[in-house]
Amino acid sequence: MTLSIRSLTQGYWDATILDSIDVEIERGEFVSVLGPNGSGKSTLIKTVCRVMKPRGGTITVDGEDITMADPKKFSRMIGYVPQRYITSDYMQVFNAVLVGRAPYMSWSYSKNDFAMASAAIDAMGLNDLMRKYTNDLSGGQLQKVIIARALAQCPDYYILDEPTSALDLRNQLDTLRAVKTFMTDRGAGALIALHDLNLAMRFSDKVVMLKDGHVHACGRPEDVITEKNISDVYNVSSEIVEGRDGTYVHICEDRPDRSAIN
Amino acid sequence: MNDISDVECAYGESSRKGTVFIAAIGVCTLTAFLISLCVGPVTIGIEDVLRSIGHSVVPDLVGGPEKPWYQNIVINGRMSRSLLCILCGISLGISGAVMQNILRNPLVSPFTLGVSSAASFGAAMAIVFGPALFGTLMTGSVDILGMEFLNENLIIVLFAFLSGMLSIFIVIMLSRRRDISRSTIILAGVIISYLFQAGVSLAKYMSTDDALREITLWLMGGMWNASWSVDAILIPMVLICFILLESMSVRVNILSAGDEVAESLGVNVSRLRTTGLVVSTLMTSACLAFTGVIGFIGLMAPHICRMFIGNDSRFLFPAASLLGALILIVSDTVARIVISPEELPVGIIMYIIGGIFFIWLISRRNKEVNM
Repeated sequence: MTLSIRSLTQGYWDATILDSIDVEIERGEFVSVLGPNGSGKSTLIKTVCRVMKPRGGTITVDGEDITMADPKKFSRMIGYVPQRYITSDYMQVFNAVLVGRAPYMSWSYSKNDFAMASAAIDAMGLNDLMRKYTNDLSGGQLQKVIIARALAQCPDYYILDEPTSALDLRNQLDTLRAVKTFMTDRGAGALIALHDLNLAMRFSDKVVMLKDGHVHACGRPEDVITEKNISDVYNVSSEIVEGRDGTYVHICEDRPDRSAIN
Repeated sequence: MNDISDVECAYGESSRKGTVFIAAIGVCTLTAFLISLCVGPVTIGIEDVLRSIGHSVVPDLVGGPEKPWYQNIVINGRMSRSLLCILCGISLGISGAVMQNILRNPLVSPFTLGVSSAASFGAAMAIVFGPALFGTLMTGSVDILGMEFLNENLIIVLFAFLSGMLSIFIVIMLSRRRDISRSTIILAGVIISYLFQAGVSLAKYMSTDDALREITLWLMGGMWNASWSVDAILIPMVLICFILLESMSVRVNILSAGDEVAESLGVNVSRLRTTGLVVSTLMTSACLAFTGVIGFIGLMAPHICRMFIGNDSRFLFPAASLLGALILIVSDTVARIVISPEELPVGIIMYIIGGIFFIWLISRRNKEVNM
């Protein structure tokens, strides 16, 4: 049971954004994609979610090429949370989450659809907001609704593009914890683009670090998130410190080299 | 397990609300329909109206109205006209709802996208240049399924439809671009309207006095052309288009998640968008070919419905259809009696009500309204 991305190449016009990317995601695995702005994280996510057609290489789920899969089948394989989304006026939260059940319904929802939507709303802690209209929500609440919709979809793989960008510290932790619990409980996998190295360190089973469209490093978080890799990829110095529960990344501010200026 | 019933309960509540709202509007529309048959230069009692209808459906069982000529007034005069109002209202209402939800833009409707102007342009072309182009073909009639259709009417519908399609084609092309902004689509609609209005002006300029009067009335929008043969063309068309659109409603709901997510939820977005726009344009341009430009119903009806029942397309589409029918039939009845025995073009009334509504709509919120 594997989502496997093999020698994937992608680009816009004549610019190559991704160059021979190889990533394997097992069921039950939480895989983070790290990398600076413009390193190709979103492009990778969009290509896996069929927003863009791959220029070269293959993406398969259990051997089946997802770029060729029937739309209905694809919708059960991949659940997508984009980086940007627009809300719908006059739509209540529970309805927005129920939309995630689209792959399973034809005209109306079944008991199971309600149960899944309910579980997703619960996981995201949206119970109190269920009857609110989505346009009355704050940015962070809305982001949780979008994630809940993907959870309700129950795909084989969750593909999330910076799902914590609008959330505060408490909510970042809670949300990623909830996503992880939800997916492992159901034997699904996840590919998640993240900016925060500490979140990646804490939650990931595997980390893919991108640099200029290449996989710079890939493997267990403690092997990939190292002072050397961070310096190579992000061009900042850092120290990995032992904390109360695990290791943390501490980013150090590089002072400009004054002698070079003078 | 308590939560399960929570979502189900909330959903059930909103579904019930939708159903009740649709039923209520349905009853109002039916009542308005019956009232519209009663009032006019000659006021006819409801009993005579019902007798007239009953008599024409089952002549053996139900006797005619008290005065035999009422039968003709009710059935051929008023009923065919009120039915045309209902058909147009349904088309405009559902088309507005479909267009708004499909383009995710609260300001679009057949009128603001230029479909109305385009359809009128097609109709004007057929009126003015039809006789020259088709000669005697214009004057005859054909027999389809036992109903007699005037060739002229069929040609007008065809022209209105083709030119309505042309306008929606431009909108479809624009909507394919992901980065297109909402105001650009509206501006494009305004410009499309101007282009077709220029065409209509040209047709007016080149037309005979008779045709000129016909076109002028057309542009005001009214129900003068109502007749059973017009209704007979429109009924199957409206019915089929309505069913097609309603069957898309689940997919339109998914579109609320945004194009990319909808695509990943198994919806072919560009196909849905194209079919939705084409079908709704087909039904509106066919209706408007007979009535002329009737603006704003397609804009108002869906918005009013959303305020009551939310944006679930499965309920919104029928609700907006019925509300469109209700608004149009009430307006037309008012137009008929306000300066009785003369009548006002219903289009003028709609412009006034609709214009005020539009201003209210865009000034209502600080933030943008999203579909």
